[in-house]
Amino acid sequence: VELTATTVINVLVLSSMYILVALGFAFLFSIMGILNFAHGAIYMVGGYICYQFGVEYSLNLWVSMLLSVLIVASLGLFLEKFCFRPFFGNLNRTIVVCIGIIVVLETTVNILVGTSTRSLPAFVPGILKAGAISVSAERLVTFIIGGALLWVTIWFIRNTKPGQQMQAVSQNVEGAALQGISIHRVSALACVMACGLAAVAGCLMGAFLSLTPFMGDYMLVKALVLVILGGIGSMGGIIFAGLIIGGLDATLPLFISGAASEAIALGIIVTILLFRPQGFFGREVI
Amino acid sequence: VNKKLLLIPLALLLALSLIAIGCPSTPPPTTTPTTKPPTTAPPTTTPPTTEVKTLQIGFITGLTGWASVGTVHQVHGATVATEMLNDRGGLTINGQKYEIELVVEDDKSTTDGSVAATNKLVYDENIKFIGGYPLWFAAASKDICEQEKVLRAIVWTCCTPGEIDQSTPYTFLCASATLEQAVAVLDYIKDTYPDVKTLACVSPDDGTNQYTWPEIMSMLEARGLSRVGDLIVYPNDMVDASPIAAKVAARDADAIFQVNGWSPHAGAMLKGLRELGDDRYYFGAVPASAGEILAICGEAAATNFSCINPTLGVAENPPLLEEAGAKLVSEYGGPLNLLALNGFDCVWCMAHAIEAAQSLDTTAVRDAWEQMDPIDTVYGTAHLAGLKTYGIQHTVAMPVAIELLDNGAPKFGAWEEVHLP
Repeated sequence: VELTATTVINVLVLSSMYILVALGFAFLFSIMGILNFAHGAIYMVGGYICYQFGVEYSLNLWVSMLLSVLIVASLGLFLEKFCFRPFFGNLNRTIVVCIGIIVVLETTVNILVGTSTRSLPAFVPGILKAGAISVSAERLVTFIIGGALLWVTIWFIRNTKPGQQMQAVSQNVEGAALQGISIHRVSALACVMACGLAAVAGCLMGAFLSLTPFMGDYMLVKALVLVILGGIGSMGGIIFAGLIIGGLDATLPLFISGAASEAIALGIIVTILLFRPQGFFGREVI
Repeated sequence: VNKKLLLIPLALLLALSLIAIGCPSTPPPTTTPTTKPPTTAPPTTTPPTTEVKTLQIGFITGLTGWASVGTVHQVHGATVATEMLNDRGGLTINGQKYEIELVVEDDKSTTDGSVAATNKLVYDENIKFIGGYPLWFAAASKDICEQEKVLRAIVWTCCTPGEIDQSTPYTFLCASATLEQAVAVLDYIKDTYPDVKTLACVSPDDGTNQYTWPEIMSMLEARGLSRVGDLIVYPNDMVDASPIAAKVAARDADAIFQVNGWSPHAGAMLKGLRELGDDRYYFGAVPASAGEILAICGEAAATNFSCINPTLGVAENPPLLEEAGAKLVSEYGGPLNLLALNGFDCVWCMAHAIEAAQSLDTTAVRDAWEQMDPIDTVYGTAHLAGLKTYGIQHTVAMPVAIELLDNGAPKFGAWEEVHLP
């Protein structure tokens, strides 16, 4: 019973963790069609900036996270203008640019900070216990913040003017431009938001897991799988996909040994995609 | 006319570029007066001279890529060993003074990168002594090095075929790797925690368990320890250990034994177990400083844990460890990392073997090394071992230091001799 309850908690926490990390990636991909392979590296930089302020300069962790979000969001503005905008609509060149960004960011952190593994202190320390079941407060915080950010993002897209402009751009770029929507402004806003979301994820994961210059590589794969499974263009779809991937990752290792559990999880996802190549929720649903 | 004028600066630029490419970017780091490194010819007949020559020792490990999180420390250690050897006057071979120059190559954390680096050092630089080779990478360069009689001091073995065995007569293991660490930890458990009789065993899936686990099961049996269930194996790149921690917590054993892995593995698992309220003792045969584990798992989880790492400032420490450790921390920052000391020993042991042979011929050095007993290492006195385990008596079996995490703080545990058959 205890193992079952712990596994249910793990499913929920892992799912929210993946959703949190994939949110910025899915947002940019869904709205602007930018396949930002550098999302993992940006997520890593967010965690390291928070570490610098929170641990090296002893600032309050929440303030450090806010500063990290602001700095990484500014980086998003820069990346949109100089890295994504010139290659808008050209997937091959965007991928090459993203690889360049990954190498630059990882190497910079590697040289400036070093490769030693480190971790942010818990944003909310302590362990909550209910009978034989226990869960750390920071896992609960990750779950709550992940859910809240997803809800806010969907609400923003559906109910605000900039969000509706983003929807218009995602449906038809030329049509949106003819209606007087500034594509560059929408694109810049989307990039800023995506990078800000990556920074939040980097900070929380930096405390929940650990910080290394290569921490984004693994999460990028998860984010990519999650977005494809949820359905490209669907923000709501990533909830469903997050639960499936989190569920597989939390339960398969209990029955299957070693790396085979990851291979089988991916095999199940590929099988689902064989029957539903557009993912669970296709492109129309936002 | 204008187009022709434009060609002039372009031609100048091209010429300057060619000159720049042709020139070395940095001056050769040899002492004055400099001579060509005599790495190939044995200088047995060289008459004594005051001229200092340069002996190049290669060092291959990951400076970039996923493994560099740990392996970059090995270069720090190798560099400090080189500095300390040179500060002590370098090597003297038949009256000829040699200063050591460390030539570092990045394996990019890949097997291909390791082979490319070996090719460069062996065939382009003509280097005959190479240290490093983390993870299982030594096997990939075996054919090149053994064929060319390049003497290697490797920093790790995962026990896969071809890393160190009868087919590698020019390769010495200069660190405590998976099996050596497992022996030390199991002896530590037996000596210090006699009440611990059963262990839940865990390991990351790095492809080596099929080679190491049978040996470790024999070690358990020989010490009267038993395991509860099979070895729990989890993905090597696992970031959240919670699901595996739940599986480990469900095993009814006296303690937990991590047979392999490094700091991210142990830190994440320890954190996951403590979050579940599992406070059992966690013995890690993990080359990682307790400080690094503490940084990952946090103070609240950091108790009843042991890993493999020396603690500076302990009376039982060998003087060389205190000297090298202080230099490493001062030059590269703390906490002291065992992987750095492993890099140190590769260069240190190889240099002493060269001096013992009084020759730069790698076969002569190998033969001399095989006769060295005891061997001076940063961990103290070591002996050659491994004939039964690896099929060749080429393991420098050195003492292993156990470091603890107790009530949120690192502290010294014990020194354990490694008795590897």
